[in-house]
Parts: sequence; C-alpha cells; structure tokens
Amino acid sequence: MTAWLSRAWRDPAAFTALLFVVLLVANVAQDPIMLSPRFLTGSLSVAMPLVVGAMAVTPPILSGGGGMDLSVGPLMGLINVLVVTVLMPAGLGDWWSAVPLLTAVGLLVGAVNGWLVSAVRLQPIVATLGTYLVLGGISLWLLPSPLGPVPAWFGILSRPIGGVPGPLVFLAGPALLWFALGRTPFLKTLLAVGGDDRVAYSAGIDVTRVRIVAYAVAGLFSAVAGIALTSLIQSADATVGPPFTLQVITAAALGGISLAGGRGSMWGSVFGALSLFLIQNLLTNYGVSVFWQQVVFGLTLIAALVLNAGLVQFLAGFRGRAAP
Amino acid sequence: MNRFWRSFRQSLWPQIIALVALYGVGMLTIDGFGGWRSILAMLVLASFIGIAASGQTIVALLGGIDLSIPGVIALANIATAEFTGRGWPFPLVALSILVLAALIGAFSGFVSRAIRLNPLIVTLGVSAVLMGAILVWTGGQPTGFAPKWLNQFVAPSGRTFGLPVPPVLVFWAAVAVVMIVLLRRTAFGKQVHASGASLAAARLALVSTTKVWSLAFALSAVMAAVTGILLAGFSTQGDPRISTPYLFNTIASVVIGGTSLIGARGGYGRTVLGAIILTEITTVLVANNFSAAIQQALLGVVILLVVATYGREQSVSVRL
Repeated sequence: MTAWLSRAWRDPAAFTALLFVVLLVANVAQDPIMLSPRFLTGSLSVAMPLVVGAMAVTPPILSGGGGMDLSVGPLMGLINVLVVTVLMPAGLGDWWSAVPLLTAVGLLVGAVNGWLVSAVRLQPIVATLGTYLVLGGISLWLLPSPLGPVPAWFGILSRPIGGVPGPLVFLAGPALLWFALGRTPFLKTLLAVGGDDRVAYSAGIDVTRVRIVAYAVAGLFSAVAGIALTSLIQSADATVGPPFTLQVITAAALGGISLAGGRGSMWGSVFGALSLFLIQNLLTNYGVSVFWQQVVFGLTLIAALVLNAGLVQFLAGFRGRAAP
Repeated sequence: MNRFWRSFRQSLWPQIIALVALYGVGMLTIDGFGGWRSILAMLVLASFIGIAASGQTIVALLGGIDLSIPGVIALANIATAEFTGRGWPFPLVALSILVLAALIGAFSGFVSRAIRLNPLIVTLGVSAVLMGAILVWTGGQPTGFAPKWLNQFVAPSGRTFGLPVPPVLVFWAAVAVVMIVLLRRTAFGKQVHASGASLAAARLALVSTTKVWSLAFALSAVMAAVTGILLAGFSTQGDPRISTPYLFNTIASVVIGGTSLIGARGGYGRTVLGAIILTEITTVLVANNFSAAIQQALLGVVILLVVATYGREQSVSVRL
C-alpha cells in the first residue's frame, strides 16, 4: 500500500489530478449549477476539442527525439472545413460515411508526419511546422470565410443522449483505442523508444515503425478532436483550428508529460486539458476579460509547472534523480 | 560519392545555391525583382527576421527553443511607440525596454535549466503573459507614434552617410559580426556549444550551464526587443499584431540556415542566409499573386523540401 502510494505520488499525473480536483471544487463552489446534466453536457462539449487534441499530441511527445506535433490544431481545422466544403457537396455528410472518411484523412496526415519525422528524419518541430503551414493553407484556400450549418448529427452529439452527455463519445473513442493499444506491445515499445531510441534499437525494436504509428495515432485523434470541434461550433471556419496547437501542448505539459519523451501518460494529458478548461471556465464566470485571462493562463501554467517539478524533485529526493 | 554528399550538406553550399536559385526564379517571374530597390526592400524585411532570429540561433545551439520572441517583440514595439509618442527621450525608453527584456529572458532560461522545465513550455507561458498584458494595456488597437528618425532608420530608401544603404542593414551587419565573434571566439560561445553538445560533459568541464542558459535566453529576449523597437519605426505605430509571424519565422530561418534545433551544430552566419532565403520565398510567392492561403501552404512545402535536402538527422543505427 505504501509502495503504491509513494509511486502514485511520484507520478506527475498525480499532481495534475489533484489540480483538477481543486479546480473542480472551486468551479462548483462558484456555480453549483455546473453539475446539472444540461450544464455538464454543455461544459463537456466546450472542453472536448481541447481534451482530445491534448490526447492527440501525447503519443508523438512520448516517442522522444524532440517528438512534437504542431499540426494538431490545423488538422482539427481541416477536418472541420472538409465537412462543409467537400463532404456535404458530395452527399457524404451522413455520419456513417463522414466519420470513416474524416478519421481516414486524419490517419493519413498523421502517417505523413510520422514518415517525415522518422523516415525522412526531419526534426519533429520543423516537420510538423511544415505540415502546420500546409494544412492551415489548404483550409483557408478551401474556405476563405466561415460557412454553416453542418449536418444535424453534429448537433445531436453536443446534447445529452439518453441521460449521458453526448460529447463523451469523443472521449470514449480515443480512450478505447488507447486502452486497446495498451494491451499490445506498442505502448511499452513507444515508451522505450521515447526513453532512449538507441537502447530501444539495440533491443531490436523497429524505432522507425513505432514513431510512424505514434504520429498516425496523433492524426487519428486530431480528426476526432476536429469532429468534436465541429459538433461544438456547428459551422465551418478555417481560423478556429490552428490556435489549438499551443493550447493542447500546454494541456499535455500541465498533465505532467516529459517533453524529452518516454515519460508521461494519456490520463495526465486528459486531466491537464480538463484543468486548463476549468481555469478558463472559472475566469469567465468571474467576469475576467479575455485579455486578462491570457495573463492568468500564462502565470498559472508557469506556476503549475514549477510546483509540479519542485514537488516531483522533493518527493523523489534530489540525490536519487539522474540529471537529464 | 557518399562522402561528397555528406560534406556538401554540412557546407554552406546548399544555402547559397538555394539563395541564387530563388533569385533566378524571381528574376524570371517578376518584373524589377533584380533591381537595387527591390533587393534593398527584401534585405530590410530579412533584417527584422534575422535580428530576431539571432537569439533564437544561440538558444537553438543550446538545444532549447524560445517561443516568447513574439511577446517580447510586441512589448518592445508598443512601449517604444507609446512612450516616445508621449515625448519621453528615446535612449531612456530603449534602455528600459532592453533591461526589462533581459530580465524576462533570464527568467525563462534560469527556470528552464535550474528546475529542468522544457523551455518550449516555459517561453510559451511567458509569451502568453506578455501578450495578455499588452492586450490589456492597448485594448488590441495600434497605439502611439514612433520617432521620425526611426522611420528613416528602417526605410528601404534610407541612406547611411550618403550611401544608398538603409542604416538598418548596416546595423544588421554589425549584429552579425558581433554574434559570429561571440559564438566562435569567446568563452561564452564555447560554453554555449559545450552545453548544447552535452550538459553532463559541460558540467564536468566546470561550465555553469544554468548561467549559460540564463545569459542565452536573456540575449534572445534582448535581440527580440531590438527587433520590436525597429519594427515600431517600420510600422510608425505600435501594433500588437505585428509580432505574430515571428514565432515561426525565427525558427524557420534558423532551420533553413542549417542550425540544428537539437544543439551544438550551426551558427549565426547560417541564420543570416536562412532569413534572406525565407524572405525571398515569401517575396516570390507574394509577387506571383498567390493568395495568402496558397502562400502559406507553399511556404510549408518549401520548408519541408529545403530541410529534407540538408537538415536530415542521423539514423538511429549510426548513432549507436
């Protein structure tokens, strides 16, 4: 029990979970109506693009070697734009054709990112900066000005379905897939590659393939986040996607992931994103202006990271921790 | 043959060839591209990116990254226009801005190294605070007025001691010389390369890596502030939105120049070439009437192609 407890405490995600609970209590204390089914559904539908986006950026960061996916935001945007500009005119707007097609696009873009990073061997920040610009450009070219509405099923997903908040679908899909991947050797090899790719390579792991899969999963999750975004705004707008990139990276970092790779968890990123959302929600409810929110957001981020790092070092003991 | 390719990629030739090839494309597709005036105009645009990216180069040599450059540029830009517009003496305003920038940068570098936080996230947080503060201050609107002489200083039609060269280009050349000497000939430069190659080895060589990181990030913020002050002259007003492109511009010019973001390989001379190449690419795309959307997409493709020719990392099998 004590061993389990001390291990849980050293997990950076524990700090994030704690932060999440504190913020949740603060939010509910400020406005108890938040827990009513209607408001909960509304809140979740606002939070989901950020949460799933943070899940998307997690596997590339875990894969190490400066792993990063800057293209998450623009890819979410492209998925949003494709619904109105390509799928609907082609009569493919129904969910049974749209969802497979959109996730396939996401998977393909992610695989291209993975190929650029691990086969062409470009630095991940540069490779995904390239795809960031390409995807953002394509979205703006397809849809110079916002357009709506989108098919009705997007709207249904942002409402309660049989007492269950609809937006949870967007969390359940990626979570199930990640859980399934956790049953395969993939997750362990991913962490091994992220920890030290030379050691992983020596142990016979196909480093290139593991990294391609990590970025492909990121693309797939980004597509789901894009669908969640479409369900939230119920229109198409080429400018809403790209700003998500910095937010989802922040959420993952808040979730205790090591940007050096190899350490961190999907749950940390989910709680990081939820915490980020709760901070914004709290500030909005207190009537803080958008400009001030940005200041508070930056300060919270730095303070949380400093606290997190300090706490981890304190609990792990300075001596026992190898300097990275 | 293989050995030839390897040494070719490590030399400056790919950048020089790209520079000349883009110049050729420009000459073929755009009237007046090769004229003295348009070359000066391009170089002035490149100088802003180049000066802002000088600090990014040092930080990249450490294996770090500075995302707070747009925030610092915006801060310096607004503060210059606002305070000189109120009639405060320019040297006082500039000095205060540079000192403040140095403190901000030193904070990012210190926090990143001393408690091992990733600089990407730290500078992202710092940038959010700065941008938010600026928006609170200005309400998001252009504000203030830059001094007249500063307009002349950065105008492509400006003259230095009677010569038809804008003063900002002379200034950029001076920055380049100082940066290259700093990185190649001084103890600080050697410490930067050592820390970037291996933190553990640098520490064993009695390099205070925390001090090097703090200094490097402080320098990066100071150079961003200098860019912000110069941009106030270029836009005549302080405008918070003017700094947005510099987030990716500075990284792109460092990378196109051939400096590795992983550390220890590269230098500022390369970034100067990178900034000029980047400006050539944008100019060619703009002048050929591509829409902003297509421009952005093509810029992405070009960055990928350029970096794929000479910016590839070693395979894991060679690094064993």
